Amino acid sequence: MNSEHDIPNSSTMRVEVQRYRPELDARPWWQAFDVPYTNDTSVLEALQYIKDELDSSLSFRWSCRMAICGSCGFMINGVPKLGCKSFLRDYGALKIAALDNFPIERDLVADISGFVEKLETVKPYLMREDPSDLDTSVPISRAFNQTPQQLSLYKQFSQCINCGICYAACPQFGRDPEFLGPAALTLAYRYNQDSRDQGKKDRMPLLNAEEGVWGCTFVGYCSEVCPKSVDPAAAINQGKAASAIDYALNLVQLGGDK
Amino acid sequence: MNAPKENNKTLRRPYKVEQKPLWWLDNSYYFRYMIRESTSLIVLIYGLVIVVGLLRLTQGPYMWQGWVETVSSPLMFPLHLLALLAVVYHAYTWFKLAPRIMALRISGKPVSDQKVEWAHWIVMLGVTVACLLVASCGGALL
Ligand code: SF4
Ligand code: FES
Repeated sequence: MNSEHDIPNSSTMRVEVQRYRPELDARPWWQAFDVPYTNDTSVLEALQYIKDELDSSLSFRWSCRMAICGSCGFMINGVPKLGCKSFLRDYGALKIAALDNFPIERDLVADISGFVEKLETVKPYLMREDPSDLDTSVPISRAFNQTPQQLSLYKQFSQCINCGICYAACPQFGRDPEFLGPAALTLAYRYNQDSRDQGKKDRMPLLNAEEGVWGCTFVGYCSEVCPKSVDPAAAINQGKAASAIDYALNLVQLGGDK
Repeated sequence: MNAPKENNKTLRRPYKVEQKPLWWLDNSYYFRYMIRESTSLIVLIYGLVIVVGLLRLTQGPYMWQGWVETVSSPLMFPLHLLALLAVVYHAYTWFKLAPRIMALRISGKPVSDQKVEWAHWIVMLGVTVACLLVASCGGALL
């Protein structure tokens, strides 16, 4: 595993890492390491080098090291990014901290459990008016076909890997942790846009609420930093149009949510 | 944030960082966002000046003339210039964002963001020219 770290004549980089050990430290502090690297050393690998060779007490989250599990989000020189998708060759020096706007559990581990709970509240699954459509006790007897065009209405918004990076890039979430935030609102919109779904009326009250789409002021940084090009800012602000229409329909009692 | 009360054996002590009052100074993206939002304040002030003008118009020619003289005084020139710059910059940022809100489709095919952005500029220029024409013709009729 260390063979690639040991490439002779490789350069080293000064990597500062934010430490916070709840049982010892009153507040986070910076610890510096010199890390050897080559052209393809990722920030995640640099952290692994530190843990393997320099200080085994360093904590950070990772799993897939290929930008799909969403575990390795850090503030890298002040910008929220995936550690496994960022490379030392693009930096002169590194400062790595836990994701902004979340409580720091330990070192580089942000406590994103509040974010995960938000994802659950928006009912991120297909809902049908006729419950027998979802009856799993009988063999599937019909397909819910979708045209490529219908798919394209939500496909981009379904690429989210729940990394929480957009929450670290959202000053509205930083100000008010109750704000549902970019990924959760995008997820709600993704299901509302799905032609197979009929649960929109159950999700609209969440989107219409103050912690819903209207908490967003289109700062737009979430879309800038999203590693999967989900463009949550677009989903939320399209959601505002949907929410406004829903509100107008309610006013004239034509339906919408109750 | 403190450790959960019901389990006093836990060593969990999540560290909560409060948002700085000047958070938007730390990041150039946030800074540009604040500039974008503050241009709308200038536009609001200018809008109020126009509303006052409308009010004066309803109060008769004498009051109207007074308002016209006030807004055309050289002292007001910086406000006009500032408002023009603010409107153009706000339009520029807004037209950049608008395509992503509209997600326009023509016969099922998504229209490119650039086209929607340009369409906004064309409509704005068209309306501006039309307003200027009407205004100057109206002036000529008087
Ligand atoms: S929308 Fe993008 S940045 Fe936000 S959680 Fe999903 S993948 Fe991460
Ligand atoms: S380790 Fe899975 S996204 Fe980086």
